[in-house]
Amino acid sequence: MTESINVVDNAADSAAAQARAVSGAGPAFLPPFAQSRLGSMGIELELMVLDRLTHDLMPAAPDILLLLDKLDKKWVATPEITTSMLEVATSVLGSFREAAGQLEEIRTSVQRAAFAVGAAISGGGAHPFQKWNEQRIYPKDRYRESARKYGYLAKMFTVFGMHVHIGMASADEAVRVGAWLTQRAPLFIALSANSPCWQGEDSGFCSARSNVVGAFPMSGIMPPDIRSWDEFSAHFERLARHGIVNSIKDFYWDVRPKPEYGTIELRVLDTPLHPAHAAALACYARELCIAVANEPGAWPRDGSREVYTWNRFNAAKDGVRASWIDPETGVARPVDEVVRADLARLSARSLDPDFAQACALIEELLRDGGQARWLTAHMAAGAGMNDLARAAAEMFDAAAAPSAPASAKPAGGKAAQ
Amino acid sequence: MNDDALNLPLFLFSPLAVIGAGLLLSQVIGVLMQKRGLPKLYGAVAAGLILGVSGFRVVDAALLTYFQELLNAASALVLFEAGRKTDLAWLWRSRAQGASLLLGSVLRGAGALALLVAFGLSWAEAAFIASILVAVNPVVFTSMVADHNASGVATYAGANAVGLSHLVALVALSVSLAWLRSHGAAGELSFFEQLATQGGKLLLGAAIALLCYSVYTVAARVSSAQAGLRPGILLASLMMDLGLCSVTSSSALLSLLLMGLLLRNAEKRDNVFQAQIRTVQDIGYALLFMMSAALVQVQQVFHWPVLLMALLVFGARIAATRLALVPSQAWSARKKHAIALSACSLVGFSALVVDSSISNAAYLSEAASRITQALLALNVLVAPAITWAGLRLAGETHEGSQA
Repeated sequence: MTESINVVDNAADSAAAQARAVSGAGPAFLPPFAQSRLGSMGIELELMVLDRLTHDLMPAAPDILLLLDKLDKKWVATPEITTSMLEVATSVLGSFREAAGQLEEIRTSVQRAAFAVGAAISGGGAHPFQKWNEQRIYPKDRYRESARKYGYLAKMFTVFGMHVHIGMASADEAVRVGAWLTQRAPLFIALSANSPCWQGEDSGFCSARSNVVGAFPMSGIMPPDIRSWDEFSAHFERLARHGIVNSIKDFYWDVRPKPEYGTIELRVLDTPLHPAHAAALACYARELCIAVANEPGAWPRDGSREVYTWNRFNAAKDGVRASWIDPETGVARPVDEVVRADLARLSARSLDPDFAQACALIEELLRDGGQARWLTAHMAAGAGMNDLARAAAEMFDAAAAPSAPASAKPAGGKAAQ
Repeated sequence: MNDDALNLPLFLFSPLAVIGAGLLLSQVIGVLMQKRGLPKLYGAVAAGLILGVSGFRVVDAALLTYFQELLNAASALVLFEAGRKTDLAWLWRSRAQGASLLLGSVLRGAGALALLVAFGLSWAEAAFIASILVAVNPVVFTSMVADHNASGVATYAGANAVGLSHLVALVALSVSLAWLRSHGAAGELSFFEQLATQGGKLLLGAAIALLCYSVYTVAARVSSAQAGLRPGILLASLMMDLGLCSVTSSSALLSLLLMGLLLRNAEKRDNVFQAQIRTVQDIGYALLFMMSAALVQVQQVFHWPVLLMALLVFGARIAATRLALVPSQAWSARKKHAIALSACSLVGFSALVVDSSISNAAYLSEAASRITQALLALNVLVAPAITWAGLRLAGETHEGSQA
């Protein structure tokens, strides 16, 4: 360790050092990798706070958080970088049933609190017509620091993602399983893609949000030559010495280790339009990780950035109609085919009794071109950008059906009528 | 024509040129004020003071009669906007919040009534003025919100307070006006006959709104007009509404308010253009300039006893709004202060309200007229600043977020 990197001995000090490093008030700090149960899971959703009239973004997150703070709950709600964003995070989960149940509770609670102050809540990866320069930085040191550091990019980062944490048995396994999950991250981009519009225009992408993250200097993927926690720590130290990173949060990688939780974090997804889909996608990622963890010692054959970047681009562009080059075989296959094959393979070995329900929800995401096409169908039927935002908010409002929120899905061309 | 008149610039003989020059001055002063961190809207107030009855007397009430139809249409659009921002579903289903805003309207009227009676006005006069004081001024509120790009929960509540207060004010006004007229010197009709007349105008206005909204809906559906094309159909429907109200002497105020309410609450797909109607901001400048020019006589403000009474009423309205917000748990104390301050402005019955039924203040005594004039002057001079302060206190103005 160099002088610029903090060293601490116990958990409390570690948390404090991490907080100082994150806010930029202390030296760089990488906490030790915490103990965690393989396959435990946590889900974070970044949600849009909307004006009920125009369905433009509304800077009401601080007011909603005040109401949510009064609730007795297992999950947490926190601010995000701008005041129109609300982040919710589940407690540690162990199954699809738990995930779907808690996310439904979150959905109703957040919706109720937002309504009380005159706002609406929506899923989706990017607001269709918000103007980045009208967004307001949340009044908190960490976000002000980000605004100073990244300039306009901080406000451009008013995009809404879903992060999935999956518990890992050890730090070294987190690096190895993370490398495998990275290969398949574009599949999750495709499945979750629901941000076809950007700054008031049809972007031509299914996930315009995915392109925004790439502007940050530490975006991308973990270098494929890192093969252990020690190597990752050395990498962190080197970058910290240069002043490039100060904490793990400075890595905007698509998949990154989260040492304080003992997890790896999948960060590529657009926030699904309905939380039930979020639960299903998280369970897909979880089963993938468990399957890899059961094959100890195996590493991806091709971790090249070029293939990954191409797969990522295709997934963001065409969503579930994209093709995906399997880095192991070099063969390009349709995303839906790969996902269905994965689900069949994972279903056969899953210990989660409700994984079939998750598969049914994912199957729904593969239909009709996926969530992005559900939204663009509204535009084809004559809806404007405000209507698009309203349609997305109404999908979030729909209560989860026992199996799937089919009622949340618009009926194609009749969407705007 | 005497020699002095011949020496005046030619453009002063054109009412249109005079108003144009006034609006130009409003903009110039407004931009200069904005550069110094002050509300741009005060440019309209200052220009009105300079050119109006308090200054060079280039613009006065007589000149504004040339533009009565235009003013009515402009005011109607502002009222339409107020209705459009009234979220009935939220007011009803949020319970405590909706009830607080409704209670605020009632308390503003009740508080004003008590004070005005205490100041020696008759019950009928006091009730008439108090009914008007229920309403929050849509020009001041909407223009200030638009100017400062304000957005947030206090702004949302304030916008709902504007629409709701107008509905309450209209109902109260129809009763109080009937009472005032039936007790006036020229009162030929009984209270109930007057009430039927006033109520009939409201009902007719509401019926016209329903008719025109139906026409709009049918036209939009028959033509399958896409989102971007619907504003034109809406504008035509609004013009029909105004014209029908004018020829039937019905309440254009209520009619336009209802058109906005229907659009906001009955047909959600149309929100696509709801965000695009921004002309109200500019209309607000014009109306505030004219209010400042024709209504504010600085000499009246310095009539201390009347000023004191007006100040008390003005302050009591803010206090009443704040008091009504106490039961709601959804807003922080800071937001409640902000809502009360930003809803401080009041409307005048002769210059702003597009309603022939309530434009006649001839029934008021001299004392009542002086208080109302002082209130209107205060409204133009200080309400924009207090509204601005309220929005900033809420942290919902764009520049406030950078603080």
